[in-house]
Amino acid sequence: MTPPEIHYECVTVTASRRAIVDLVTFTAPAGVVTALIGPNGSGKSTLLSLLAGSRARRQGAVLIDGREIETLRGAHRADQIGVLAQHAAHQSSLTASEMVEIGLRAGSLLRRGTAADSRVAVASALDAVGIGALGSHLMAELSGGERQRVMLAQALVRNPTVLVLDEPTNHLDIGHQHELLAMVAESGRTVIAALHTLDAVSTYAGHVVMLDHGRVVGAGAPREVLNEEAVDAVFGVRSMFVDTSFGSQLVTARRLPDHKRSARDQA
Amino acid sequence: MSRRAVSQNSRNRRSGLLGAVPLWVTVLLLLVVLLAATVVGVAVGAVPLSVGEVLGAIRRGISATSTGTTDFIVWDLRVPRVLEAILVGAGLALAGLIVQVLVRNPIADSYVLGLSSGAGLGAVIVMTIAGSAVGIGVQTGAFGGAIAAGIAVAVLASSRGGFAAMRLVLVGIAVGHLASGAMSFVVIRASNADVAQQVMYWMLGSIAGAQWEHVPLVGLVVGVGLGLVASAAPWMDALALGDDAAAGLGLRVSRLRMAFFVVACALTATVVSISGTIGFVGFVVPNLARLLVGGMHRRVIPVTALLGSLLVLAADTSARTLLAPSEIPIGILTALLGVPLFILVVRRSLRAA
Amino acid sequence: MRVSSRVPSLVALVTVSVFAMAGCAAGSAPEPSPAVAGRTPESTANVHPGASACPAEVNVDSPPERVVTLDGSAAAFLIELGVGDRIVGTAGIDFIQDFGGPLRADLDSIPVLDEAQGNQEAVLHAQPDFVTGISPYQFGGFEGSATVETLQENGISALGACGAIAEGENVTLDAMYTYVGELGKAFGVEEKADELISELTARVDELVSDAEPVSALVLTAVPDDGTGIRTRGGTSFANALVHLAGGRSLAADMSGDSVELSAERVAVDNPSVIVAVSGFSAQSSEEMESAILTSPLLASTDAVKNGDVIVVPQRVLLSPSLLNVDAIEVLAAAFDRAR
Repeated sequence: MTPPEIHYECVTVTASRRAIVDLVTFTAPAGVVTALIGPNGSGKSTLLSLLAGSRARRQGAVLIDGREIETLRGAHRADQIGVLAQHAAHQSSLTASEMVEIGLRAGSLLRRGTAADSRVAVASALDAVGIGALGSHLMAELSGGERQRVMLAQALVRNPTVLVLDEPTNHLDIGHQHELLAMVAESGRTVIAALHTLDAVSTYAGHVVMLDHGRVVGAGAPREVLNEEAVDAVFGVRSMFVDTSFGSQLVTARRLPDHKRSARDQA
Repeated sequence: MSRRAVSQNSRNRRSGLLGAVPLWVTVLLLLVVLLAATVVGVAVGAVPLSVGEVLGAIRRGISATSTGTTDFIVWDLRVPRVLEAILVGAGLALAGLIVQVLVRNPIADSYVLGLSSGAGLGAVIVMTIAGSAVGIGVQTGAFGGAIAAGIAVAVLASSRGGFAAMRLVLVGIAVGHLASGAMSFVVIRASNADVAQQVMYWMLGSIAGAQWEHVPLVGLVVGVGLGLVASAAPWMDALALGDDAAAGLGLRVSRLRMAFFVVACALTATVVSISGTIGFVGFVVPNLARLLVGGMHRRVIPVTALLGSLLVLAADTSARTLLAPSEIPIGILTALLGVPLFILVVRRSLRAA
Repeated sequence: MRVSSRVPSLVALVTVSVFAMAGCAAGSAPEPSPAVAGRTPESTANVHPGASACPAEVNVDSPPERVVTLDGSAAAFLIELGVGDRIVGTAGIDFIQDFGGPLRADLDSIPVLDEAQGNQEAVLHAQPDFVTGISPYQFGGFEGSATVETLQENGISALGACGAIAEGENVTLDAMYTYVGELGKAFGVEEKADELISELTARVDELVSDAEPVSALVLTAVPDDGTGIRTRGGTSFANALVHLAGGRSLAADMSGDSVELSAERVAVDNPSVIVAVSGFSAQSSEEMESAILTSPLLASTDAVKNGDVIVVPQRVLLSPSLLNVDAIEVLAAAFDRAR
């Protein structure tokens, strides 16, 4: 597959007379994991939702390979862009296969191919995320990590070229966090993910966009964006990159009382 | 038996107690049972008739050569009543299913949208005020009332964001209460206070007044409704995951929700106008269906319709035979038949889990 | 399967419940909201828990001077007994519409305290020493009406027409005659009362014949709104009037006031006359008649085929009234035509 490039151009979204996202411009390069980072309320989810069918009023352009996303019909958009959905509790009575199957059919009422084709697509999606044997299990019986992987399989079942993830590592233990992000990074798709765990960002993201109060305050390679001043200013924590035998990692620490106050708190 | 020990062969096993059973088997089974119940329904009644008399009456009814009381009883009283029971049951159950998806809560039926109170208000207005003056019957009034309530809810619950689930419930309950209050007011202010009893009977719900006249129109509405809903099963699956998830899967969520709402309203208003407000069916049947065949709507929809028809048919048949020639209000029997069945299935599914 | 042992007990539970419920449901209709209720004795119990028992008898030291009637029917009785001038006010004026002639003029001239059921404040304000009405539910049963106790606390005696609903099959007008007798006693006009009773009894006796009773269906509502065939049971007052007119109600052997009857049974029993009871809805007599004649549920009956449908207001068919005997005469004529 040839993954596309996603570009946000001067995107502004307002609600209650407040700009949730203000003149945001950045590019998510093709085939790479772009991490959106920033404190709670910085607009990450809103930006991601624009790729996921949100009807919010916005100014500016969201382009996929140069084409405005709103010109894509819902089903075509969903074919190209897979969104990791949050698992809702009341859907626990479905099996894993059924949950993935919903992702396969939803946009189109007409089945593409035969029932057997659907079964194959569902099975391969589950295999791809490593839980091929759990297809008949009810969602309620699976662990948090397994459920998350089912939802990922649902997002991948139509073989999209883009993957949108909003805090996908919530509720996952450290092992599963790495597993999920590695899987996603190696898939060759264009991935845009809102992530909280900065050390994971430094490991798996090829491109980072840092947001604060709805504005872009940094964009580029992880090492450039995640510098000590920026992390302190936006998050209020001390940090530094550490080189290890298995790669460079960002390490963060609690702010010390005598540390200078961040610009954020003064704003 | 540990679920984890399930073998690879059952990878296609679906959710629900009957998850291992292919859909066509379940549907066929239910159709057979429904057919049997239909036969029983036409064969029994307050007046005992022989098989020969019943069959003869049906034959003559079809060829429009009915003569005599027996033919009348079978062809003009029992057959339309059985057909109406089937249609009303399917209509109520489907409407309940749609509303449960719209409000994302299994404890809901179409009455939570205020439609039954609206129907009652319409019926009461015709009974006490209009009627003769405007030349419309109670049934048209009830239909109009339900539609008016539906429009009120649609208008009040809509916002820029669409047709949110919580808002729908709150507005529906509010509109329902308003209509109920208005209904009481109209009854009290009526020049004749005895109309209250009439209203009460109507609200209880009954299929005793079934006529051939109703069957084609109701059949059309329920048939079209079933067709629309069945073909939109994948959309219902997606909506059930949540509005954001559904949007992510490519659906135009607010339009879709509005469309489903309209279908639920049309089904409910039509059914309620001929049978009054029969309770419990819209709530229990979709839940029962889900417990049996799982959460995928491609399976739930046909089973819901068939179970709904069965429940109301069984209830109505019991209502007119258990204490013949007296008729028991059907609402008592839908509950008496539906509740034990529901509890049985719930316990089974809990034990299986 | 462990569940199989539970099935028999569930079945038993269901069966028992059905019959228990049906026992309650059969014959007695569910209760309308307490705020609004029919005034007829047969409209089913919406009685407030605090309602008084029906005051069937009354003891007064001297004939009452200031009377409040809770409905126009009671007022008519009093006027007929010659004590109409003592009425200071009335409620329930819709009962008046059935009367005509000089009696009507007298009724129309009575001051109206309350158009509806007799609000206790309005009644008390008129400072009567005697209150009477034809329904047991007028004494605290209807929302806002005065209980017998309240009236007594204010030095007011109360008398109602009780017994309209019989224990067994209802076949006499005794409830009405008893009421007239009690009124006569209270007002010291026993002779007039006896005269009236004799007159009415004589008219009824004239109608007695050896002819086979005509089968009749008493319909309290036209089944055009989706509900079934609602009729009055054997214990209701209507049953008595039909019986005395030379007919037999289809539901005569069913106990209860308000009963829902199977349309199949109606088709088989084939009533010759349908007695439609008006006054329960906004439909006029003509509308009721034409709706019945075109109802598919009743199409197979002789009554509909021959057009033998007669409409009688519930005020004179279901409650004691001066016009009960007139109603019987009208019914008798209809039954004769159908024979």
